[in-house]
Amino acid sequence: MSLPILRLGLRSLFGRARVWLMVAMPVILVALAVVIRQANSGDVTANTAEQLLRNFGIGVAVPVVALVATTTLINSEFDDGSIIYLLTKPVSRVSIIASKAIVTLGAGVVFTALPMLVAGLILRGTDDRMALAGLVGALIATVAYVGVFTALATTMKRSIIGCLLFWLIWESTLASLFSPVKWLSPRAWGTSAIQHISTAIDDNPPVSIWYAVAATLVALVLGIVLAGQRLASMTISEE
Amino acid sequence: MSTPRQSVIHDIGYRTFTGRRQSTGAIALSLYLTSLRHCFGLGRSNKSKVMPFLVAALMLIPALVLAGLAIQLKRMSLGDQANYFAPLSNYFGYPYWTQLLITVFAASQAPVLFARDLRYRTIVLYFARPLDRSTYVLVRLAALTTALFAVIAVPMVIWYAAALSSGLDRSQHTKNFFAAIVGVLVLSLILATFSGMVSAITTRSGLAVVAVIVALMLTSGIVTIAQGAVYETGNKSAAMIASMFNPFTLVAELISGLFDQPTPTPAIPHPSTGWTLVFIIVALIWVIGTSWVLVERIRKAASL
Repeated sequence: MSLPILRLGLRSLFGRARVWLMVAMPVILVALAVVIRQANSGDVTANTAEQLLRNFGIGVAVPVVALVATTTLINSEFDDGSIIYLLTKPVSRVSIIASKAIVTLGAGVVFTALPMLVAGLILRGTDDRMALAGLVGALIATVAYVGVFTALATTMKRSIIGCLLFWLIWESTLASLFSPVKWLSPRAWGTSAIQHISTAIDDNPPVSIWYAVAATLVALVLGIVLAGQRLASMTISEE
Repeated sequence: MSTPRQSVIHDIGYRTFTGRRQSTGAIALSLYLTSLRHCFGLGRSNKSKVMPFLVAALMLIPALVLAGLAIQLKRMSLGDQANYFAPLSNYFGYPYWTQLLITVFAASQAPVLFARDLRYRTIVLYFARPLDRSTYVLVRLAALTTALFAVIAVPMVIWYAAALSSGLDRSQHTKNFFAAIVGVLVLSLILATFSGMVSAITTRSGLAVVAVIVALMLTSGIVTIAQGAVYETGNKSAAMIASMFNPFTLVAELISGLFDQPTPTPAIPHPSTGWTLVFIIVALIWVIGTSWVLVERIRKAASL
């Protein structure tokens, strides 16, 4: 952990126009929750609430925030080569990657997990643990997406497009056509967490919660190890 | 006294152009054709041909599968066929259900026409010709619209041909088909202007691709969720207001109202005459508003 790098990370994440995309996600999520509550005159069924948390929260808000945060903090510095300026400072490479991961995950918590809790409270109050389910589901999905995006970003060129295609084609399209995709889909893991924790949902969750938690941790570790390896194998001098 | 011609010390043979100069129309036409070719990666690197042709091929798959079935199922009774081809009768469902592919095509090809010239300052070379700023933008828009229209309309024509050869009610199908084709034209225009505007504002291809996809998929997701939420309560006005924020739902409402067509999903309500007028105005705002921003942006960027 290194404070200056944390500070730099925060500045590069919040000092640009794209921060508005991240701010927009929780605002839209909460606004939709309010609209749905109004439309149903204060009496929202557990299924409607779960659908908003699952389809918009886990399906759109979490990946978009994770994508913006990961690409800003990790990929763009690799892509444009400005990571070299960090590497020339006497800071260990492990602490560089750890600090960046903390900022990314922190952004995920602030911009998606907490708003999911708020949206859950607006929709269902404290009934059938819906708000808690939203919080935990968003946490799991955020951690998993950050891991997957980091891993994708460090292994391919044009990384933003790669992450975007993963979200749109793998998660949104293929997952609805072929059910085995659920074993490798952060979206299914987050959904499973929501359905396990909330007491009002009868649907059979896609995967068991222990698998979801374990897979999430594996994805995060994989992402950090791959990024760390790329960082460690970078050389400052020309060959 | 001698003539100026004789007073020249060095005549190194520069000559003025004495051939016939082509009109602005010819310049616009050649720009249109190059832009259209560039939309499909023709005249560009092999790598840039992958995306447009992949999307175009994927768009064809559902239509080809259905056409194959139509030929196989000739021996079925007419009632069975009508059930089987029920999705066929709603032609606008085609672009609606393949909106992800169409979005990817628009997002990946709009920056080719609108971002690179601004990014690499080659725009000044275009304007060194007698070509008006707004003509340049309109020609580029026309090319992108044509490309999008072709990608969506070709599979629909195959689908229509399959329906015609299956012995179903022809006049009904013809009416539905041409209503949907008008919708596809409007949709292509809206998508072209919107993605062109985003590309011209960001001027970086990677960023523009992401911005267009996120903007269109995000609004699509929000509209679907909002409409699903109010569907059970039967609040049609709210559902129709929600439709205005995404090109696909907007055009679905528009042609549903104009030509008395069914909408692709029951969550999108069928508009009354008054609402249809509102949708026409909103569609005009989508097209004219974004083109105006686009023209202003290019004007400003080219004035340096």
